[in-house]
Amino acid sequence: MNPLHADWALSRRIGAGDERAFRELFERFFPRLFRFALARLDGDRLEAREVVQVTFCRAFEHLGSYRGECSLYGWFCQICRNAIADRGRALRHELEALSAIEEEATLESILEALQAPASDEPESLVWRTELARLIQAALDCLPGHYGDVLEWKYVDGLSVKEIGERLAIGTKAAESCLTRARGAFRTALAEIGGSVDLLAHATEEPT
Amino acid sequence: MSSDRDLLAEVLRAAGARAVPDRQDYDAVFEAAMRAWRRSLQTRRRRRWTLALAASVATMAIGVTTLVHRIATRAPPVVATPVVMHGSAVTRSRNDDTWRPLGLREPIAAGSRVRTGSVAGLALEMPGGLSVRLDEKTELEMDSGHSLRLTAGGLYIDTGSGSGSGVLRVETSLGTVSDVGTVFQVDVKASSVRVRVREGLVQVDAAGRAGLLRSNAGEEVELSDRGTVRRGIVSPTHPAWAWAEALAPPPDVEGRPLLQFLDWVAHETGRRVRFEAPEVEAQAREVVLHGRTRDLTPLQALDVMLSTTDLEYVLSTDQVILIRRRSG
Repeated sequence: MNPLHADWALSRRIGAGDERAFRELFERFFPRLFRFALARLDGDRLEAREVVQVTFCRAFEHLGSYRGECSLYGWFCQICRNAIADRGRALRHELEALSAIEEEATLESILEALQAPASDEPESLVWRTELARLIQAALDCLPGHYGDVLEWKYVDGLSVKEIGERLAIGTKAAESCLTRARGAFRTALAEIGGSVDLLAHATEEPT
Repeated sequence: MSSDRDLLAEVLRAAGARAVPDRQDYDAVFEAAMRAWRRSLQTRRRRRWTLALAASVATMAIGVTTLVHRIATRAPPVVATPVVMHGSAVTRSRNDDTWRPLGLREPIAAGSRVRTGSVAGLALEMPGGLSVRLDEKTELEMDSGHSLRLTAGGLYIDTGSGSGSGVLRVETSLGTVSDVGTVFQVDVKASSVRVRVREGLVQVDAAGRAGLLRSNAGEEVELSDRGTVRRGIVSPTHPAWAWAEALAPPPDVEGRPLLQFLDWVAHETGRRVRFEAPEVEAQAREVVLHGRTRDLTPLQALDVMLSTTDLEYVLSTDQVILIRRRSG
């Protein structure tokens, strides 16, 4: 199913009172939105929690207005961004530039992010941190459980069988999910600006 | 390919794990979100009751008017019923200038127009077991149960096995497509019309430009407004069929045999079912299904249905769904 169709169907199920759908959405979006807010609130966890709480409350209040024209996560991100702005918090310049990437990874938004002015920290460290965040944000933007599946496999080192168990699907289905997740991530990386170049910097050992 | 695979893994490892919120954060936000969601449901229900009350009063008034109107003018026959809807769709009747939202299961009368929105899709059930599916941004005029006029977008038609409902004609600006018991798709673009045939045979009357063309299963024909005709090959599992698969009306599986469900999946995905061994087929014959398959594509539904058995499927490159015993 087209991811936008799936998002729209999920929102309709929630609107119709389906608690399983509500829990599914919460499980999927809470950690992603928390990271989204955390990155824009200078790592203030307490404030990030409050902002995400406001985001969910507003989103459920207005869920009927979601028409499936953009990803549901993108729609939540927009509400989250408004909630941050409502608190009078100025968004950090480079993160403002990154915000577009987290919803729709485009080459332009990546370039903007990479050209953002550096902070007081050494340039390479800033670049590395931001790049890692970019990759992590790209994982957060993948549909369904794709981001989790990739992280479990390549960062946490889980086997395909263990991933299948976590998702309560068979090994075969987990393998196919991993393949699709890799494809989706590769596409996201290509849009970020070329996976090979990024890797060359990202894996370089500090001297 | 393998070095590409290593690079991807390396990138992810280099980026490291994403931050994880504390359990305390999770619980606090979950409680608040749950309360907000329940509150919004209650508000919506109250609003619906109020509207229903108002609507029932209005319906009584409309009922009297409609009765008088029906006596005076005979309503056109119903030609289709929406059975699956993704996103939004609108309709307007023959004598009406205004588009209005189309509801699921709302009868569509002859002469009506139907239009799907962006990121939308619609499956219609027509007399004789005919399944007509509209892609996003599609506009269709339902002349009758046997004649459709496609002015924009994509249409998928499955005339069913025992249709007996006569020939179905799809008119476009560049020609008319008629089925001969088949599954096919018509796409109308600004300057071309493409017909893809998944099963059976269709006849394309290119409106005086190229005469009468026949297209068989696995073929596609593209007519351009310059009068050219291009023929090509299209596999029954080509991604072009995917949107129509996502709109397949789910079958009622409760208490039905797995084999019947497999036939449906095969039909909807343009594949054949094969069993790894005779004993696997014998085992599959014994399986009776329970549950629902709503909001799933045919292959997702198959995943779900087989997950309760010790059978699994693999897709082979020769368009076969191979059913075998689950490994490990």
